[in-house]
Order: sequence, then C-alpha cells, then structure tokens
Amino acid sequence: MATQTRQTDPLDSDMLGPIQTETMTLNMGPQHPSTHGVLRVVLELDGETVLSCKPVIGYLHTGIEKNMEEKTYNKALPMTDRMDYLAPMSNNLGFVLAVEKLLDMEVPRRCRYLRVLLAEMTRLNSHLVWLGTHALDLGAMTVFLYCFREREQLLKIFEKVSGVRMMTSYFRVGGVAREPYPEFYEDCRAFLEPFSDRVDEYEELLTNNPIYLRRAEGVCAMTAEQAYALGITGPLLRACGVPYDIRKNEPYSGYEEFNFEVPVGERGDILDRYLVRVAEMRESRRIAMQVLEGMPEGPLMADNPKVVPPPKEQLAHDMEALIHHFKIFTEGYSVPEGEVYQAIESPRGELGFYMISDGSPDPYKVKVRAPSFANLHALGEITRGGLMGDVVAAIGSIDIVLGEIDR
Amino acid sequence: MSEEEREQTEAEEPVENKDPDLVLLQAKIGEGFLGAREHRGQISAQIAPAALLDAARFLRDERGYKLLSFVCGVDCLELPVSYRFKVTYSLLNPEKSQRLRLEAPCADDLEPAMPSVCGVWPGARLHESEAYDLLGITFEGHPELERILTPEGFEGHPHRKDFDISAEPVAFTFRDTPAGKPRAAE
Repeated sequence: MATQTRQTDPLDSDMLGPIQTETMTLNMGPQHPSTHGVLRVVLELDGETVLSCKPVIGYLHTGIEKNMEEKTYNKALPMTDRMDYLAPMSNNLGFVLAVEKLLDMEVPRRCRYLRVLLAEMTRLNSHLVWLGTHALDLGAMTVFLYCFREREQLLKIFEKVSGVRMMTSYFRVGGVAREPYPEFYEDCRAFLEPFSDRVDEYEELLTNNPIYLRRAEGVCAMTAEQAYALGITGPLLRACGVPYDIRKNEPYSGYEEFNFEVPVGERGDILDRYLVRVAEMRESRRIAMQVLEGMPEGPLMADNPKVVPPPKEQLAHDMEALIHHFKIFTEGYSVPEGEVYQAIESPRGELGFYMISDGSPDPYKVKVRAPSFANLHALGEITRGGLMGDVVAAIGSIDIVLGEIDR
Repeated sequence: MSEEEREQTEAEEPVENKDPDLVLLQAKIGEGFLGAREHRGQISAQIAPAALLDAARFLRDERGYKLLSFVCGVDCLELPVSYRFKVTYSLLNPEKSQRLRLEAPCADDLEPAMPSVCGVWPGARLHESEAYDLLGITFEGHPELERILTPEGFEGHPHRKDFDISAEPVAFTFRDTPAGKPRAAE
C-alpha cells in the first residue's frame, strides 16, 4: 500500500530530492517566559522528538560565595536571600545553622519553633509559586491566580514580621532579628486554618483535570536509580518513591518534635511531582499548626553575648553590653577553625552550606550546595526521546530557581 | 587546625576507626588513605588523588553512598596546609542517612588536576565544571569540562584567593562631544 502511494505521488522523491535527515538545533531562552528565570536550553530535535537537551547556565552569576569571603558572617547572611528568592527563610536557616554548628552553639527552643514555623510557611510560599507557574506553563491560568492570592497573604505576614516581603533576612546567628509582632501568631493561624480548603481548590482544578493529566501522567518520568546517580534530591527524588526527607532523616532545628508524613510517588513522572508537592503543602500546614499549638515560652535569643547583640535598652546603662554591641557590628565575631557541612530540606531539595573557617570573623570559604543546581541535571535525562512540547512541562516540574543555580 | 590535630593524637581512638565505613575504606585502598579528621561530629577522610576513583567506586557499590551531594574545590592558600588546592566530595548514604566527606589534595599547585568522578556519579558533571570554572582545577576524564558560570571569554578563576575582585576593568564607551564644547575630562 505504502509503495503504491509513493509511486503515484506527484511529489515523488526525485522531485524533492532525498529525505531530510538532518537534526535541528533549537535555542530556547535565555529570555523565555517558561524557563523560570534566565535559563538557556539548547535542544537538538529530530522533528518533534528531543534528541538532547542541554541547559546553559551562568547568566545570573553574581559571585555570592566569593563575596561572602570578604564579609563578616552577619553581613554575609542577607546574600543568602538573593540566591533562592522564592524561599529566602530556608536559605537563612541553612546559613545560620551552619554558622551555629561552627560555633557549637544552641538556640533556645522557642527560637527553633519560630524558625520551623517560618521555614514551613516559606515552603508553602515557594510551592504556591511553583504550582501557579507550572500550571500556567501548561495553559491553566486560573491556578496561578488562586496561588498568588494565598501567596500575597503570606508575603504580608513576612513583611510584617521582618520588614521586607521577599528578601527577609530575618534569621540571625543565635536567634532571629527581633521578636515577632504581637498579632503574628494570630495572623499565621488565620492563614493556616483555611489553607487546607485552599489546597482542595487547587486540586479540584488540576488533579482530575483530563487536560492536565494528558500533559503530566507518564511524561518525563525518572527512576530512583537515575535520581541517585544524578544527585537529585527533594520532591523530585520523593516522586520516584524514595522517602528521603532531611527533616525526617537528619532532623535539624527541632523537626524531630513534630509529626508529619513524607509523601512519595511511584512512577516519578510530572504528575507524581505535582502530587508530592501538593501533599507536602498539606504536611507543611500540619507542622506549622503544631508549632502554633505548642509554642513554648522562654527566651528567643541564645545566651551568647559575643555573638548575639544585646537588647537595645541595655546599651544605655550597661558598659559591657555597649562594648559587645560595638564589637559585633564593627569587626564581627571570631568563629573557631574548622569545616562543617549543614544540609537542610529546602522546598527544592537538599540545600547545604559547606563552610570553612580559619578562625577569623569572615568565612574562609562558603560553598552553597544549591538543590536546583543538581536537580537541573535531570532536565537532559528526562526530556530525551520525548516531545518538544514536554520540555516546558519538564522545566516547570523540576522547579528551578536560577538565582541559586548561578549564585 | 594544629591544636585540633594534637587533640586527636592524644585521643585514644583515632578518628578513622570511629566510622566502620572508613575502616573498610582504609583496608581497601591502603596507602591511598591519608588520614581522617573530625570536627563537630562530621568526619572527613583524606584520600590521595590516585586512589580516589577506587575509593569512590567502593563507597558507592559496597557501602551504599549512592548520592554525591556536591563537589567543591577549595583554595587553601591561606590555610596551614602543604598543598594549595583540594577537592571536597560530600557523599550521602540515603538508606542509612549517613554522610561522609572525602578530601583529595591536588598534587600540583600550579596546574591542579584531579581524576573526574563523573563515571561513578554522573551528577558530578556540573559540580566539576563549576570547580574548573571558578578555581581552575582540571578534572581528567570529564566528558565536557567547560566554563559554566563566568561569561564567555572570561580570564582567570575568581574563587582563587589571589584573584583580585577589586580591579575588574570597566569598559567605558564615550560618545564624541559636539564640536566646540569641552570634553568631560578637560
């Protein structure tokens, strides 16, 4: 049948010449709305099929790690917000925990609770942006509006507690920047209590939506072994069925005191990544509610006058407090020699700070193990052999933040 | 550093015996194992570059360190050690939630090089490219070693301690001043 058609076809091969077998190289980005930042992707295509997909990064490289070497620990802290600008408090938390580990210092229980509360609300914030933009990439506009409605409430709380909407820099080595405002816990409760209904709303829009399922189910799947080999962590690894969550497996900042589940997927496709993150939002709400229920009394800041600045009132009538205040803000505090690695579970995966101190008030070396940097490896792997249209869905499902990839 | 080492030599049990994985690793690579250090409960083992790949394969296949968390080059110029560059590998055993750090000092201070672990953990590709870009450490056997963060045509390696960050040249392009008007500099 096929040969017959070819014989009678006027557009025969001797008119058109030999069939084109060359592949096409397509450049996507760096200015592309669905690359979520300044990412460039070089695609090699055979028709609609992706033969290879190479992410090109570096457009946002600002040398944050190098800059940190020239600054005291407290001055280096605000730069951590600028890396993962969707989850600033997770970055703050990783940084302060690493410095506290170098200093061998404990913070009071109330401070740990407050940090956990804010870190979980940051996770909600980050997942909301992810959900909204991922759905938008696939053509579902409504989800974006719903997610940003809730995100706005979160940003208002962040602004009231830290003074800034996005670049909060609220955590400090030895505590937090200041006592939260009086209605803070009520505001959190007012946001968190109806939040599970909000998640139901998002799920109504997507989870059983046949259009979404056609784009997500079985698309760009990855196995657990592939994920291990590429160093992939966070929701991507859990979507492959590996229940690895640093909050559970290597608890930090008092996470062992809270009850929560680690949601996992089975197939490791885009749908599973979506389901894992949605389930994580419910779990984050659960942790945050437990913090609000069990918020302990007691001091907020660690008792270490060399590191933690004294309360403002003391400066007027306490000579020693004034000296400490002056020393902390001029030359900083010396940190004992040594090197540590502190990993936390950021919304995107394992966020680690590898820090070397030479005993001076400036870090000798800071290396940020950014989760997106490793997770970006997945892109080439999961899009290979798939369709070109799925590349956008894949980038969205990885949840990258270029700020932390390039640093 | 020196004080800490003194403490360790005084301690009854050497650090390398604390972790059963390190005991086995030591038995496996023998002289390639240069020692171990502990700080704040975290152990880092020093490995000779020649034994790095053997150690990596052994730890991945037989001790369950399936995940390479990161690779980081360090310029030790101002640290009290005999070598200039070292490369740190942070490994994770996800089943046991155990972490281990390997450190390999580069033999040559002027042209630092290290065998690439991309064959063991393919995820090392971008991390090693980053260390090459920022510190100028060459990874032998790397499939695609290239600058990934600094712009095209960039010279030098910014994370080296002797890289001057205050003196980056600024390219000014002046427009010609209209005839008759004095130039800005005059």
